[in-house]
Amino acid sequence: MSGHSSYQPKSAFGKWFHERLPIMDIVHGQALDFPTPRNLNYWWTFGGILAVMLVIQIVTGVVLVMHYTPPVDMAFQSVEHIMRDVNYGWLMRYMHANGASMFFIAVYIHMFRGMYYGSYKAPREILWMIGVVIYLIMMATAFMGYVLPWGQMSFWGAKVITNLFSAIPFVGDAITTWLWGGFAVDNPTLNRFIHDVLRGVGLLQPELSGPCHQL
Amino acid sequence: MSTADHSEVNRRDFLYIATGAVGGVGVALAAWPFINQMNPDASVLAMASVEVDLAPLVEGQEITIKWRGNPVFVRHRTEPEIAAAKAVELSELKDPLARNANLPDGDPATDVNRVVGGKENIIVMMGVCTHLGCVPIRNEGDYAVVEGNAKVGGWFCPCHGSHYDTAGRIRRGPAPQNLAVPQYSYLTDTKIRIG
Repeated sequence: MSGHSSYQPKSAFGKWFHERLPIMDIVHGQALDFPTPRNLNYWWTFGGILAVMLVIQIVTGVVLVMHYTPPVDMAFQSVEHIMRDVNYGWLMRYMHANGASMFFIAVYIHMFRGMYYGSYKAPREILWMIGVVIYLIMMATAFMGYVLPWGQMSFWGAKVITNLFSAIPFVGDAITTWLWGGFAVDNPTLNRFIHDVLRGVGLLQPELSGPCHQL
Repeated sequence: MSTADHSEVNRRDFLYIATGAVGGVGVALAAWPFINQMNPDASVLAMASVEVDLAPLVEGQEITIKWRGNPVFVRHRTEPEIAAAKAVELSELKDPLARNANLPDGDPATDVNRVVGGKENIIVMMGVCTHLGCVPIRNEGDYAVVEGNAKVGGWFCPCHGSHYDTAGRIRRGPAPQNLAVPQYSYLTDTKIRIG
């Protein structure tokens, strides 16, 4: 982020564009001419791999939500519809579901790399804390995705995991009722688990880590 | 690496082009499922045909049925309607093509070419104006047969004023084509299957 940019547009169009919107300068500085320590090894690629995974989850998720129907009496049917009727729907759903698992494999490698090489040390403590928060949100998001097909595993998974909150002293039951939107896991619970809004959160980490790497 | 000082094509240029080509093919292949998922799915295609019983349809009566989400006009035409359509010279037509999915593309828009199997009393057409897709009104327009003070046959699109004659051919107004005749066949003398 700091220092003079080395970006020099070569083509006539590049120069014309750069004059008016110097956005390629940022792309160049972040992706191509990015100062990195020479001792980085392949374990550092997992940040980029996670960014790719996030894009895959967003794109396949947008596709799935075009074909999914939220009410409880239609949710399972619409997932069957995605698997059997929609062109390449099976591919979209498997990419999204297995992609979530791959996302976690990548994030664990990313985290253990951070721990092994001390990536959490000063001055990067806040970056690490944000990473922990994003990890928790990731788990919540993945859990919600697991509930959406509204099969047996989804329903009882939702029941058990939301009941974890009932163990909180004094307010636990109120929190659980609040999460359910009722007195049992039902339609309100399912519909609030559509996790579109959470996808933006994942973008936080790469945004923040860029400048921090250069400190 | 500068590209300004070498003028002849070298191996590196070849590598760039080859890499770009392979990458482009890969991107196109990966993109296809994401594009194709928006095309009609198997459950939509399964609804692609509908059967219509013509027996209750009396002369001069028209029904509108739904096929693939669009209205289809099925009309039992009267003799004056057929006669009016037959009397029209092809040179008077705005669109001289039959627009009949059951015939070769270039066939002329004669009255008999607007129906299937020469059964001119039954006409089957998409109830979708070829201008911008509104549903034309039956027994209306300047090309209907006038009987007393009633109009019989012919269609008029209220959106932008397209007049279709008693064979569903565009005669006046902004619509570019005759009302499309969908693919259909006679299962028996009084039953058709559309699609």
